[in-house]
Amino acid sequence: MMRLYKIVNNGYIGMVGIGSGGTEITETEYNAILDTIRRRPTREGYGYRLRVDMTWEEYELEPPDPDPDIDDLTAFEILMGGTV
Amino acid sequence: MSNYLVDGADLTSIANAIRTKGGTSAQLAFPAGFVSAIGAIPTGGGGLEYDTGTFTLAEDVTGYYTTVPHNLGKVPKFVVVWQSSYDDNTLPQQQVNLGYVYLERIMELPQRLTSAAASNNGFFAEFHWANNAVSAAFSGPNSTSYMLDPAELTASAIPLVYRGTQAFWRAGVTYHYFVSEGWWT
Repeated sequence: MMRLYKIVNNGYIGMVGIGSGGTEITETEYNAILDTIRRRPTREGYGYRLRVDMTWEEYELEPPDPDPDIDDLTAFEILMGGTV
Repeated sequence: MSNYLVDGADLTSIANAIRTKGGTSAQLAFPAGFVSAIGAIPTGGGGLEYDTGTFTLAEDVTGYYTTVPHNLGKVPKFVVVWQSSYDDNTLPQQQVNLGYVYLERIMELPQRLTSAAASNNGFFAEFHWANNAVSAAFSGPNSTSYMLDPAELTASAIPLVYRGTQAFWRAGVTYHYFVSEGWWT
């Protein structure tokens, strides 16, 4: 029998899952949360947290990093005098 | 061969012990039933302890840290987290996006995977990072921003970390995990 759970932190649903941990929930609740997550808002530049009452809280995302992380190979090539 | 006289209660106690260990309540005929029942009891030790499950985040992991619970009961030495086209129709068919592949202290295992190795096993067509950043061949490790840090692994949780600003662990995606105490030899 699969164990379904949700994890709630500070009034927000962080995740649902199958396995150990969190608070065990019914399949009906699991499917309802999953459905809500999959229909979450996707406004550009904003993030969303799911409140326990299944409503979304919108917040502004930080602007993208102007100096994004680079992979190790590129870093190595730069260190070895390659072009950027 | 010598013959022995055995008390019926003693035989019953042995049969009860076999039934308890074998997880059955069936009557056992002596001696063949005893022999076959003992033979059916799985051997202890040597089996690989593992735990597996799925999780779906409600919020993208961007520049913060969260954890996924597991039930291994010890710090895993092998961790894989992935999403699969078999239950995620946002991916092309037969595609698996890898989030973590961690084998004890060898943190850059994906570096050792090649497109050939990935496609020759008859199951995976390609290996991708979970954010689609890298496809097919692994010519080198990708960003350390989302590498699993073994210091953050615990006996009950897998850390999901992204140290950059773009989402790596994404909301709405069903990820699978497998953790084990070791690796098959």
